[in-house]
Amino acid sequence: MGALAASRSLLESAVAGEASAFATLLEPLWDPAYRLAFSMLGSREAAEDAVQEASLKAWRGVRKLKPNTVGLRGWYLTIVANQCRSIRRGPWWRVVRLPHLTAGQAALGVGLEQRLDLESALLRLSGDQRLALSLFYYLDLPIDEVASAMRISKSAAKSRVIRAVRALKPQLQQTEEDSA
Amino acid sequence: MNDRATRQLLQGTFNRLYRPPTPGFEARLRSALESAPRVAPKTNLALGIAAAVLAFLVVLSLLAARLSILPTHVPVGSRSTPTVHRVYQSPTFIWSPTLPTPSGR
Repeated sequence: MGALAASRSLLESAVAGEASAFATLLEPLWDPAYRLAFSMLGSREAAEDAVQEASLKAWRGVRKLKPNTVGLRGWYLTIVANQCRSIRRGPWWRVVRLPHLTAGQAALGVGLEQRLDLESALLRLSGDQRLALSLFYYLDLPIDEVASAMRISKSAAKSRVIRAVRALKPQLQQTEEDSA
Repeated sequence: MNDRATRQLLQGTFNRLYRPPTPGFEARLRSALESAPRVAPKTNLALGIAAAVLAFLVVLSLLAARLSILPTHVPVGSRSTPTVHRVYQSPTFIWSPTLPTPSGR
């Protein structure tokens, strides 16, 4: 109850124009936001830029939040996801570098090939499919927050997650059999 | 394959692909937030509008030249100074019966 009151008073200060209060509110969300951006963009620099730009957009839009807003996570991650989408479909001359998979980066051992297959299959997914998987499985968000972050209905979010898992099914099964 | 196994495998894959942010990222983010203006810069919008107006004018002038609706002759003078209209006078030719005819008769 105390934490809720504190976060509400921080939000009121942020809406009133206090940037440090807003930064304090966002601070616990920077790690999930960076993870989401990294899983979407595959580059450290691009992910940092996306989180920074999304944070500035959030700061400009915080006044539009309703006073009874409880958590900023869904709202903020929506802005981060949109920023990543706009970077991905940016101008044709901009290159988003995806990570190069090397044997040194992945853990050596049994099943290395299957794991690399799974990683490259994951990187080949469309942006929206990867976003759905990242929000649901990686950041462990409930499906209604996944839906609100993707600005789609709950049932559409569910079916997007299922379709993305189905696209990875051969690699997932191979990796599971190998590690069993 | 159950959902728990899928979750574990995907989390492991995302974690293997993950690279942490550069040191000082959060501090940079905080200072960027604290020094950011509250309103979005309008520079890009203004530049966009100016470029659109310029492009419109260029297209309009090309179209006007194509349709020949622009004046091809610009009169001498300007609006501030009165224009002097020169009247062209042809040289007077007076025929006289005393003049010899071209045939010499």
